[in-house]
Amino acid sequence: MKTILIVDDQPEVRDLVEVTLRSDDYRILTEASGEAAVRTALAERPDVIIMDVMMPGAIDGFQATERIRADPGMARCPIIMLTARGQQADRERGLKAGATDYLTKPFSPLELMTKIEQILDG
Amino acid sequence: MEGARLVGAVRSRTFRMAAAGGAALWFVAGAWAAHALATGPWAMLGVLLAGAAPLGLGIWLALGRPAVGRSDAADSRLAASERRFRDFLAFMPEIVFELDGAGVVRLINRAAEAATGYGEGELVGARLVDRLIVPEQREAAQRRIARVLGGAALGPQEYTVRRKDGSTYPVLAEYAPILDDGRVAGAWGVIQDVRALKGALLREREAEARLGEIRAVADSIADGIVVADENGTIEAFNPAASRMFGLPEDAAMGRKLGDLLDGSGGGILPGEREAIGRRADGGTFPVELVVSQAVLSGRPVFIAAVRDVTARKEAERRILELNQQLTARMAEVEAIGNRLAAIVESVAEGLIVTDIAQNVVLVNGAAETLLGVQRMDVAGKPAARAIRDRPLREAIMDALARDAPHDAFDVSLVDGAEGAVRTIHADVSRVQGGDRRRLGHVTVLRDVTREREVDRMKTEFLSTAAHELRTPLTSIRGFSEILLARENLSDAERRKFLGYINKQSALLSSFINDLLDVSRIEAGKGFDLRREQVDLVALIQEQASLFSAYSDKHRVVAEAAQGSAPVVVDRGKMGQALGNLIGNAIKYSPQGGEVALACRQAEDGWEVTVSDQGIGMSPDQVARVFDKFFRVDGSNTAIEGTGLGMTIVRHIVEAHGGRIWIESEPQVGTTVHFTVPSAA
Repeated sequence: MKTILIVDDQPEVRDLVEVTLRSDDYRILTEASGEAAVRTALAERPDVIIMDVMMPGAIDGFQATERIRADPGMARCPIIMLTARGQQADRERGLKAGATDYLTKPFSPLELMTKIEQILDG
Repeated sequence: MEGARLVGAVRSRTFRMAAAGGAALWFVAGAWAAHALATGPWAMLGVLLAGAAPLGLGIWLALGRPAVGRSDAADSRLAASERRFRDFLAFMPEIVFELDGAGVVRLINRAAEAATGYGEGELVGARLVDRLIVPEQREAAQRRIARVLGGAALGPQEYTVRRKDGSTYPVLAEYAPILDDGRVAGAWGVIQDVRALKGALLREREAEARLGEIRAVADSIADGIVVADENGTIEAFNPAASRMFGLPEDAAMGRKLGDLLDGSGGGILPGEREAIGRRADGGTFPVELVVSQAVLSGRPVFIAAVRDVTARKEAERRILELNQQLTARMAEVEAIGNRLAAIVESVAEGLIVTDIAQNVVLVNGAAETLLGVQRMDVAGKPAARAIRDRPLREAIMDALARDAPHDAFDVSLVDGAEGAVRTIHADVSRVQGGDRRRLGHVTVLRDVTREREVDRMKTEFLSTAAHELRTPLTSIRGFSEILLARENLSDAERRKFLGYINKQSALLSSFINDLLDVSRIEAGKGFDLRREQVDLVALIQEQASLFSAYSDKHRVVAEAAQGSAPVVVDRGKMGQALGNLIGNAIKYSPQGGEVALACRQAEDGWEVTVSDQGIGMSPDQVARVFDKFFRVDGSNTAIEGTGLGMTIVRHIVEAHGGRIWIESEPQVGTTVHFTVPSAA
């Protein structure tokens, strides 16, 4: 069973991603801040992380991604950024921080599902 | 005869005299002078000569008769007659004599002795010429006497007489033959001392020459010279006056001087003045007039010197005209200069004009303020010294060195006094003269701090707006897609997802309304208020209860109602304003607390307050809170907002005729006050 970590400060978005990926094959974890995401990621070592960028608290999604990537065991973990920040500069910054992919809101749940399945099956 | 001609001339003419200094002086030779000259020695001589022949004849007849037929009685009568004749001759001032056929003196009067020193005895019996005429003239004089003795009638002749003492004097001698029965028996003669005569003649000749000169001077003078008697009647008129007045001298004589001049006191008021000359043909011309009084031959006259000043007047008029034109042009140029200077000075942008050597030519007031310099301190100095701020100086000097037609850049300028960083936009343009010669540069400095800030805020707004749009759209798109794709959803889930979609749609439409409001405000259109009778107290309670369910951490309290506050407002807009203020109060007090609303009677209506216990604002933030897109903490993504709320609130309040102001203290809280005029 694969573990998926969903990080977003908005409950609605967490609900949306969770229902999108709801499956008997996946264990789904959710966090609402950057710090919590880093903590959970290092503790649970999920198979894939879906990360928001703008969140309240000390660190945002970019920084959380960098910190998770800093752990040798998490270097290869797929991290998909899912954010409302759609500018090219934001995308580049996300990829530089260590994101595997970058999706902008609003997104298609079906597309996200397909992407996750490809990552986990591949 | 010369003398007679001169006398004639003297009699017939009026003489004019002019002073050498240019002032004309005329005099009229009086009749007495003509008379004096006419009765002078020459005329007397003429009388004598005319009388000599008959006198001689009478003498001859008296003397010759005894030879023809004498008697004692006749002899005694003849002797008496001869005695009387001799006595008469003795009275004559001239030398009178009788010569025989050889030119020998037969008879001579007493005047001869007085004039020559020779006694009668020494002269009678001697040849006249030998005794009285200087040796060199003797022969010619004797020949002339011989011709007269031969019967010729000759005029007077000049000779020089030698006196007994050897001295000489000039004389005029004339002879007439004495006829005896048709034969020449001798000659009568007269010798006249011509010294007095000559002196008078010379003086006359000189006077005539002098008069001629004076006349020539008067004639050649360009000024018109007019002599008038005391009644203003013209007596003399020179050629220049004739030309000026178009009046021949003859025609001018006898006319009144006043007829020729307008406004000149009849032309006979002594003094200098300007007047108008009237030509014979009716034309007029400006003159300069000098009238003086003089006395000629004891008679007062007026002498007027008249100068035609048409050309001078025209030149003066032209000079005046040119001067006026020049003055007008100067004033124009000065006005243009002043206008340009005023324009340059009043331009809001700082202007620095530099020459080709990069020295400061001009700085305007705005540049002085911007650079913190005084123009008198920097004019003519190198630009590098006029600009103290190093980054700005380096940027401008680089641009001047590049010498491109145009250069534009932004530079940060640290304001020395407050340490605030301002953004200055510099435009450096090359200045070229009409001949494409490079004159230097003009640098325009503009404080774009605010514009750049607005630009930054706009960019931020776009990204914020995009985020604000993406967030509700994420839910709407995502949940609708799930609802469409998934069959295995519980009813509770379906309702929950539909609720999300509905809520986010409402947020989206409210956001779009905000945007539309702002764009309307931006376009200066303001609000289209739909006023109605509203109880402000009830409206506040309504909004408070709406938000009381919004947050668990906050208590939204409307102070106990003081009856009602009737106003005429747009219910929707006023509700929107209250909602924005309550929303802000909740948003900016993340630790929770009380949000208190109150409505009090104010001077001209009602005053509403919305207070929170939130993070508050610094004075600087308060000052900018109504700026569009301004957000107190733009970096705090947790506090959502477009930065449009307060802008909209302010415009709603002002559209209703109210005022809005804010009291705030960081970490203590914020109170927003606004007024609503009571229903009129």
